[in-house]
Amino acid sequence: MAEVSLQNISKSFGESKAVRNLTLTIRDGEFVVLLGPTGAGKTTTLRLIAGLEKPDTGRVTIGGQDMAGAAPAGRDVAFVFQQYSLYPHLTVYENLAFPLRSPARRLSADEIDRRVREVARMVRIDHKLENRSTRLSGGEMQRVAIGRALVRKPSIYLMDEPLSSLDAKLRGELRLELKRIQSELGSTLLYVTHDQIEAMTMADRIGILNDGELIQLGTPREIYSNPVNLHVAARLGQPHINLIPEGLVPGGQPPSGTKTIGARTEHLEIHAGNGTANAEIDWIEHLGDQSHLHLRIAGHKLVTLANPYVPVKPGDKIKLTLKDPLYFGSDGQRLV
Amino acid sequence: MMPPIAVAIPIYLMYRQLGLSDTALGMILLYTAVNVSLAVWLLKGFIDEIPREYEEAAMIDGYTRLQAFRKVVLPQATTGIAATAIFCLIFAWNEYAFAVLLTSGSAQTAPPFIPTIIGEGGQDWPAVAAGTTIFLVPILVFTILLRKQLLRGITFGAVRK
Repeated sequence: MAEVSLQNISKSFGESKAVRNLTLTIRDGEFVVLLGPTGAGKTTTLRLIAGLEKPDTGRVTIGGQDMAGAAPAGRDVAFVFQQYSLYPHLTVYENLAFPLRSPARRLSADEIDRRVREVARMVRIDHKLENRSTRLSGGEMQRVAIGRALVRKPSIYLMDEPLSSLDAKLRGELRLELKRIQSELGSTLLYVTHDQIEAMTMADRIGILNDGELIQLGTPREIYSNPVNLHVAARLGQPHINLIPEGLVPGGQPPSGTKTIGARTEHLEIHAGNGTANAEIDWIEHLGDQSHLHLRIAGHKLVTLANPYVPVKPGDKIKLTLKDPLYFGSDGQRLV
Repeated sequence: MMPPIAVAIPIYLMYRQLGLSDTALGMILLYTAVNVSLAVWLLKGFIDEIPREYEEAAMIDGYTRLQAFRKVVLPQATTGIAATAIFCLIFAWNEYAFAVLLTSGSAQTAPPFIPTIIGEGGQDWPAVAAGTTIFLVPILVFTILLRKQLLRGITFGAVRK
């Protein structure tokens, strides 16, 4: 394990700038998640660290050593790809042993066997070691792919949306497993996703990427509670944050210059409309344990969560107030 | 890929000059040269089908580019290589125009030879039938030997898309 550092990295593909002046340090033993939409530069960042791409400017250092000119094999990183993850002509066992059999390592057959079996147990695939890698379910394939990274003890694990092609239940399970394995091994891990739940649940720190730029870096709590701008605020929270013009909903003390107010569920208070109603319930989505309330206020639509037993129905008038929402200026920056 | 007859005259003159006319070496060189373009074209298609990620994964796993190609790309390209080998064999085996032009006795191939059986004293149909049957055998054997690789093409593409 080692500290990995990116300094002022930029990378363009033709006209398009994939990564712009990115500076990021992943501390030894830390789990960092890069969160951003498609095309934000997440995958490119991983590929730059792995040496599959060369940065136009800037430096990548792993364990304090400059990696300029080092081939992927010489960087001691492990990569989990989003798809095409397993070598189809090999068995599960051979897939797991593949990195250990590389000429760069030269381990004895006993040592390889021991480590393959150990990791197979860890990712719970030890009952299928002799299967062809193509005869596995999606979840098993992805577990093997993660196992193939874990079988080595690299400086850093790089994971590119490893769970995104799986169904929701399996994703939840593997998310927990991955976090457990990472904290057990104390590994340094850089994980890329567009799934806010993965980011919130696994990360020690989250980096929000947009359009090749790192917009904010911080703990999940910080990113959620103190977003620096509208973009970051909109990345997290379910249902999606409500962005409403200043003055639409009473309550709160907007600082001067406030243009937009960001209101999540916890920033909206609903009172039974007793003559002072300012909003109307448009629609209710019952999710079972909770409900999504779709509200309409002066032509604007808002969504918030509510207890399913709140006695309201579509068409009801209610009173809506704000409680410590997020304030944003006309440039989209947060105002405190 | 062009019709052989278009280059027949220059090649005939060149071979006469170099002393390659009617030699096995001359025919091997010629068929190799003509097949290379076809083989490269076909193999490129097959190799392009293999996702780059496999090669990249192997390079990160500690292999050089060449080792990654040998360990990961080549095993997955066996189907394509088998199919290409059969195409090339059939082309060289069946080729008629160059063979007629450049060989007469010592390096003559079957396609120009078999019809000459007819020419000698009427039609010796049994000999022609036997000749063509024997002519088929090597292709048949080769295809049977490679059928495993060719069949694997059906189960190929074990990646989730």
